[in-house]
Amino acid sequence: MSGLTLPTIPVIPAGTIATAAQMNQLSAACTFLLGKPISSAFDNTGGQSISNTTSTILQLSGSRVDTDGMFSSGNNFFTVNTMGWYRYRYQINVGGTTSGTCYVSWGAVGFGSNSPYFGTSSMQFAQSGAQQDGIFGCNITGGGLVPVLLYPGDEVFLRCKASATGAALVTSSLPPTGAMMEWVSA
Amino acid sequence: MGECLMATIPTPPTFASNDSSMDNLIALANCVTFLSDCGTRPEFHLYHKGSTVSLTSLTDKTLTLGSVAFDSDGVSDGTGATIVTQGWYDFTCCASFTPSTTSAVLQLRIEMISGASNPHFTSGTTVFIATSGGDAVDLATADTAYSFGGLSPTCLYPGDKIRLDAWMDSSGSFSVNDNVNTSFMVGRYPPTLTGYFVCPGT
Repeated sequence: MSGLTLPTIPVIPAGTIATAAQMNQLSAACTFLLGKPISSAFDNTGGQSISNTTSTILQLSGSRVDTDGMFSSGNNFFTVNTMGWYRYRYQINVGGTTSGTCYVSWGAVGFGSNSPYFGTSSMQFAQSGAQQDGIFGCNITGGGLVPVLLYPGDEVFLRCKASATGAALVTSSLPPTGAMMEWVSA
Repeated sequence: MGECLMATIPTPPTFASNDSSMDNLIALANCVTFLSDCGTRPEFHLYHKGSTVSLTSLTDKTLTLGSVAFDSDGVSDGTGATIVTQGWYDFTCCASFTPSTTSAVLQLRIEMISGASNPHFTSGTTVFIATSGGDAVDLATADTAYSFGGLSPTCLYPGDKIRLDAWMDSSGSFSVNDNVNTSFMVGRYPPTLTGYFVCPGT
């Protein structure tokens, strides 16, 4: 998908008569902001194990809202289609097995070919964590502004690592493991 | 619940050549107002003020957020929020719980209880929006505090209720701390719930 078109704000000098094209540019800017890129994806499968030797990319299998086609079933990440600064938020639900296991989670950006950072290592941000209870598991939440301007083709995914052999993710009636992205500004 | 103001979601106009329509200019101005003015676009910040609220083990406790910092769409209903304007919303909450030296599980949830207008759920269905929790701090000198949020699971409709619920397991002994403003580790801030309109939807 090519993404939404970032609006162009016209310059209308004093004393001139605004053209229809200029007025429609202003209207298009409002249309963009009312329907800006936002996507929310989640894991409705469950059962994924969190490793204690390497960080795990958390699986995503469904989408609730996706105004800019950032999520594709089969991918475990968001693909940016419209350049801009984005806000990212996530939640991880871990089942209860072994009490005391700790989990650390974070968001990560993989830079695509349009980014000036293409070819560099992925950027990590929004770290969080929690300690598991043996019966009730734990819920990990985190998020914030992605600390870099995102370009079309950049991928944003969610990672997690356990301190010991981790329990499986659960779905149940709690909000499922998942993440969301919201365009903030150009 | 306060006066139902219901924000009007604007429609960007289309201009024709030699367009002299004042209505179109006003429609454009309304768009800008909605997008830039949080007194027009639905946003709210509610908090708890008053007596300490104790939790009962293995029982959900709805925190009363009856105080209003700001509420542009009249959503405050004395307990939490009741949605007035249809759309997707984002919520953030925070709460701190009194210290307990007993190892316990403590959980905080932002919940939505669907109203009669929401076509996605049977009226009265509870849906969790975001949850944070796990083993609580077991020190006598520090609160267990949570701060998190999430996007609504569906587009919300007028009548959908937003609640902040706390839960602890049988080994816990917690209460919600009000802002006593005497320590940086205990009772530093009151429970709060913030929400804002993100975009239109169905």
